[in-house]
Amino acid sequence: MTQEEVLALVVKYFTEQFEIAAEKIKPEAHLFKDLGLDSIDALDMVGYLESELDLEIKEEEIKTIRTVQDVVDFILRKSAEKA
Amino acid sequence: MMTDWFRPARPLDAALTAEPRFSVASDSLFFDGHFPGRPIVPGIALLGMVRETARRSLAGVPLPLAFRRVRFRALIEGEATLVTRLTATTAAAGTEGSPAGPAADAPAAGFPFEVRWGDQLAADGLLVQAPCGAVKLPPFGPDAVEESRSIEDFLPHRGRMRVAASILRVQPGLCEVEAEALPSWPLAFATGADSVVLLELLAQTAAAMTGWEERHTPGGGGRGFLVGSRFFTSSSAEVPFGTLCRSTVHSLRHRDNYRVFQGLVSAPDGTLLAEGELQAFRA
Repeated sequence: MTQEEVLALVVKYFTEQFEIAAEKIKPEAHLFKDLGLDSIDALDMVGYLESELDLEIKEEEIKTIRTVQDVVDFILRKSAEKA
Repeated sequence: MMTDWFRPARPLDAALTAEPRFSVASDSLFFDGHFPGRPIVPGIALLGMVRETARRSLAGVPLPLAFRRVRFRALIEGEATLVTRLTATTAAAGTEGSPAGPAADAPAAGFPFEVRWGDQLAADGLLVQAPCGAVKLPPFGPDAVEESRSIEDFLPHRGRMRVAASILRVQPGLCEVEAEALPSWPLAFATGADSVVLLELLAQTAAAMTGWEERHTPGGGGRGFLVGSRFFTSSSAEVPFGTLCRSTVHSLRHRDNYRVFQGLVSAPDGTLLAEGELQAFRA
């Protein structure tokens, strides 16, 4: 997947799952401060990435994800590792 | 009577800013089985208060039948006084086409709510108009079991707070239970119960499944507590007494002790009564 494809997937996930307006989901948007997610939302997101994209995510990796771009980069990196 | 469950501490009025106060007394029927030896105010008590606030204060507006982005943020043990706050807004509609999004003909408005317990936020979320139809369940497989043991072997709920009557079919990650709406159900009115109780039925279906898994799946199961509901929608405001309900829940995903379930409640003829997504932590 390209960066644009992953970003589109992330935007779709946030709009459908958390009902966040698509225009708010910018790469630099902070998941908690700008998008209003909480710790349960974060767990939900990790569960989604693991089950839907078949990614294995370690506890310490979760703490590095703060922005939408972090989510995109993370998916790209983990997908490349898996390939 | 609804007042056997919780009581408005002062008369509710039509002003949305009135912030009605409700008390759950130590002899509240919520504590009849939720849970034996450890009285905990259930989540549906808080949502019932929100619905009651809406029922009294939203004159001229159809009672919103859906909840979205509900979070239960406090474990309330024993008697408590809770304050509800419901706010009218036109900016609270869901994303068109999202799983719990509003119907095309529904008003583009929602009502953010909070339930406060002292200085703590006990629950919050959004009350909206939204249709059923988002949940799609997988079929049962050949390994599904028709469980003949009592549901109380798998479920901690007792007394009047146990609304699920028996397990019909179960397999890891998927469970179907049956129930009949009775005057003894929580949040009962004269002819039926507040449909919020169907959220409790879904939660008990999930709990029965995890209790069953605990016995049958290595590393599976475990008792949990509800921390939220991304969406819950019922097709009517009340479930008439005598309604036979089939509640089916499947495990959507999990991460560590966190687990997400989706489920639906239908009548024997297939009529959809309610659906929802539950978020729970394993204790």
